[in-house]
Amino acid sequence: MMQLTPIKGFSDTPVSKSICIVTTLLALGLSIFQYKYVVKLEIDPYIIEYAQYWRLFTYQLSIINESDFVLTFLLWFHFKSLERFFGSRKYLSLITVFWLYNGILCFLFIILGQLGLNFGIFLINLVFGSTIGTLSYSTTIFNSVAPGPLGILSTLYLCHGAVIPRSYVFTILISKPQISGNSLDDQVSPSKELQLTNHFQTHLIYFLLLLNNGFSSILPCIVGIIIGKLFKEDILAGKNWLLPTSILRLFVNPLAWLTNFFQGRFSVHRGYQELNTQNDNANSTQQLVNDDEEDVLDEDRANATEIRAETPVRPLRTQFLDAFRT
Amino acid sequence: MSLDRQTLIFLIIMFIFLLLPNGADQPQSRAEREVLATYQKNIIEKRKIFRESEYYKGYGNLTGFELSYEDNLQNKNASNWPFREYTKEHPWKETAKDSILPNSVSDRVKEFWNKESIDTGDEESRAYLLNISGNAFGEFEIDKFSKELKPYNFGLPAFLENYFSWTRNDQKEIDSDRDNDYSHADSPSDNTNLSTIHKIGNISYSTGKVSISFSSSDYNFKDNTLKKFVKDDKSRVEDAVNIVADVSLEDSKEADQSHLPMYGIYFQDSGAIALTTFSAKFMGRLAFPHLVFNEKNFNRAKILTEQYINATESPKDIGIDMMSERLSSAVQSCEYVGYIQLDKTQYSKSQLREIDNELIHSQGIPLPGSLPRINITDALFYSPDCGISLSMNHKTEFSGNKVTVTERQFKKILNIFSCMLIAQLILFIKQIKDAKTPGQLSNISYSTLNLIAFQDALLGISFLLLSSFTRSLYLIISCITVLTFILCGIFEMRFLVSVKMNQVNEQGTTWWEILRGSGSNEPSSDSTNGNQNEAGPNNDTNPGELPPPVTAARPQPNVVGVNDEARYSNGVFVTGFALSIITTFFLINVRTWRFSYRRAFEFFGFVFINSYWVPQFFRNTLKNRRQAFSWPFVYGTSALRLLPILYLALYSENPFRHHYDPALAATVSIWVLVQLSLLHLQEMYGARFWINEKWLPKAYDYHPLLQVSDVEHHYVSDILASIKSQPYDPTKASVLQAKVDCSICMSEVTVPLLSNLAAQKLLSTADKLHQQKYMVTPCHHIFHTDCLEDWLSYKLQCPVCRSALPPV
Repeated sequence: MMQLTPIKGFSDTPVSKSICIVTTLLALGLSIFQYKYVVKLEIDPYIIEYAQYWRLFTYQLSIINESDFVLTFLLWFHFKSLERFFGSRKYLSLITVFWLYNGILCFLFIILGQLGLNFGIFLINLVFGSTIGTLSYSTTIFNSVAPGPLGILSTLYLCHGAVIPRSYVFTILISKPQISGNSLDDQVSPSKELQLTNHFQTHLIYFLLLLNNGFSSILPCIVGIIIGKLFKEDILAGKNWLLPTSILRLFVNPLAWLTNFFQGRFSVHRGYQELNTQNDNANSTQQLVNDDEEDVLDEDRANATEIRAETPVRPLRTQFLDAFRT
Repeated sequence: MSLDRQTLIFLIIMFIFLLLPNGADQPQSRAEREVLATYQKNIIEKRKIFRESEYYKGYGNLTGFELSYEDNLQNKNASNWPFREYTKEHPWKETAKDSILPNSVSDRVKEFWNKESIDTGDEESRAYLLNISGNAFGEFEIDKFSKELKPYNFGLPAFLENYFSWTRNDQKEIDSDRDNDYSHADSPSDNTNLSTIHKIGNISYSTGKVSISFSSSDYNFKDNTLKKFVKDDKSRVEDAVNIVADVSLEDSKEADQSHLPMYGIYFQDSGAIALTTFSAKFMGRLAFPHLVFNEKNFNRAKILTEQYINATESPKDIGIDMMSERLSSAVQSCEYVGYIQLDKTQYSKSQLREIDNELIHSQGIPLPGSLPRINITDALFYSPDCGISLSMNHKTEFSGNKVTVTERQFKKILNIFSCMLIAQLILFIKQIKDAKTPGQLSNISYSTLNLIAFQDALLGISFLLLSSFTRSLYLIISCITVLTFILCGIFEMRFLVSVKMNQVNEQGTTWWEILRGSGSNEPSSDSTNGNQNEAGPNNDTNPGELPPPVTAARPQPNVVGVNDEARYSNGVFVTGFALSIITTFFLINVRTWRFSYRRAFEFFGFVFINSYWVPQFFRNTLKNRRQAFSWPFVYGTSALRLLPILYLALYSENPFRHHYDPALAATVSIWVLVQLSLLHLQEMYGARFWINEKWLPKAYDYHPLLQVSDVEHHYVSDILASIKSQPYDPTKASVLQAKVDCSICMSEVTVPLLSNLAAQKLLSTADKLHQQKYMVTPCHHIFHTDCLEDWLSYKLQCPVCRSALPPV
């Protein structure tokens, strides 16, 4: 099967796997049970009239249309390398932090935008209008944002660009190379070529996501990019905060967590006593989380050799791509 | 010449298709065409009267409305119309002198109907409901007036009368052809004959239940079908809407039901509804504007009714089937005029509009705790031709929910239900994973699984049927359908088939044999005659004596091939599916039964369908196993299947309108608890705790004391060889120590051998203990106890010769 990302499947990326599953199930559930309105954020009826501030935290939880679903799913899939880079626990913690930041900042952004736009119209009326305009409030394009984790993905997109190194660069010549006066050296005019890296898929998908809902998807993406910039410059508060491991375990493997939870409380001692495996599990998960960062390089190397060993015959595509890898 | 079956079936189906009537029934004869043309002309003429009518002019010459009530009392002849002239100075008035309503009825209506009208422009004061599409349920009683109401004798128009008697003659002739004893003396055109038919709506009981389902159209300037008739402000009506109501009257036992389709208008400013039936003998719709008591209402009713009639049926569209439908309803049912007064809601008009919007298109806008209901404060139904007046019973509530509210309730329930289905699915998957080995599968009762799967199949099919009836709930219902079919068609079916495959060697054996645990495959002729227990003594061998040697000719167990799985699953699927479909249609039929029968059926049905652990209890007893299903599965499945019944029987506000029935809930839940406790008792005291030991056949003993004589007869020669090789010890002459290879672990088993029965006393305790260390199968193979027990948990088959083994 074709491999989209450097990491095979969801190997050692449990958080990304859970996120992809949750994204799918939530989107399906919301549409089957007809609860799509839960993830909509609109200033005018919801916030102003009904004071439903909980929507600040729900609107990023799920997308509600199919094309958004495909794009967000692919992006989460590509950002697996970020989970490998940060480690599972840090990655989930960062997503949580970005989620809160994006929710609140995006809300402030659209409120200010809406008020500013109204005021601007008022000023224009005042200056150019024949009658003295009254300051009247009406809904503008800032009224609503597209539901879905667009802000979080934008922030992660910036992280991805900053921390994940490129493995290769390739150039597509758009026109025939022009041979200049110096016949020894083929000079290509820089405007006629397209330089791409192995990140170009991510750029493409993100660009589509940015434009997918028009203005209402551009808004949260801008906010997300700003937050990502702050994170890159190390001036985002709370970026070193870590989630408790129990939450990580619940998120990564809810069934195991639940059985563990219930066995701890309602175990019936019949005949023989079971060994208490809870602590062992906790330790091993802890270890897994801690070891992740150190193991990344080793694992990559191991994986690489493993893949080589498994597939001694390299397909044509790999041969081509390997030719670019220096 | 012989036809093969497929061709025959094809021909039969084609024949049926050719015989089926083709929807649009064309008038067959010239006479029918003439009648239809006259009818259409008549209708055009009457509609002209309707268009030109004014409130002061009265009904005009409309069929059924020629005589006022006083004229009827004086037995005037309708064909002499008109009886009096109405002018602006002497207008038509709502009294018995001019109107078809008797004074006693119209006075009663005036008492409650259309009393208080609110300002429709005022958005903030308490208002009446805006959209009344919904259902209301209540009770009615027959009004007793000081003077008895005199029923009208409506006649059909002459041309229809002739047509009707002609068609009836036709019918009679066919009847008399069939039955020659029928006397022709009874003239079919006799009017007395017509009135003696039991009419729909001719209520003979004094109290009963009434349910009305309203379906309201939108404002005439918004409604899709009416919009095109709204040309100017005059034809715009902003505070009244057309409604169609289905009124159903039934006695308290629900034995006699009458359904009356009615047309009417809801006046939103006063919360008043007026309804009327219409047929060939009673042009209720055309006279409707005159039934609403004042001129303001008349004007609105006239506009709306005219638009409604124009939108729904043009005179040219009236075909022969519509005419005969009107004709048959004229003959078969009573005409009714109804007045209903709604209660004011506690919300203002703008709030009501917001609530309605939110209910139709959910946006997450907070709704008030108590949604507005259809509350009827008073209602009266008067039938001019049957002389009946019904009023609402004031001691009970006459109310119900709007369609949108009911749908919301359904949505909630269905969401929870789909989650329960997912839980059941997970339980099943876990159970299938748990019970993989043949040993475990052979303990599971096929009937238990069958009953559970049957429930789910019924659910699946009924939801499949339901999904085609609803639009707003389609998504969730089809999702539930898919879930049930996955649960039932994939997992339960797979489990069923694997259990059946595993127990296939029991075919032909008797209960007695399974109880005994011999597991032999000898086909027993007695097992077919139903009384299987009788087969027991015949097959029972004397206890103590070992079964016949394996070398004797015995039928090979049925070898189950690859195709058999497909065969079984097909068989299970086809019978299960057919049975479920038949049952579903039977259940649909049950819904129309009268209440007492339905309740009895419910008791029987719910108890039957919830006795799924009973077969498992017997199966446990048969196989002498304590537990077949895991406890989480047992409890989870019972709870998931009990909860919906408890909800239906104990929550009286349920949208299915199932009656409050604590007896049913108690019976079913106690029955399930009894079954669960039986399973628990088996777990604690052994599977056969309830059977006296003496009644049981003796189980096979895996640890027999072997005698030399037995060995000489049945066993392999190396035992004898090993004995011979032993040095002869005179002190232990009676007990020999034979050494055999256990063919599982390939190491030695030491088996004590008695030279004769008397030597048993000489056995030392050590030898007795040693007896537990080896096992001898019925086919005379010897193994270590540990080795064979390990193996038996996978397969009840001898590892050496593959003959079936009884469970340990």
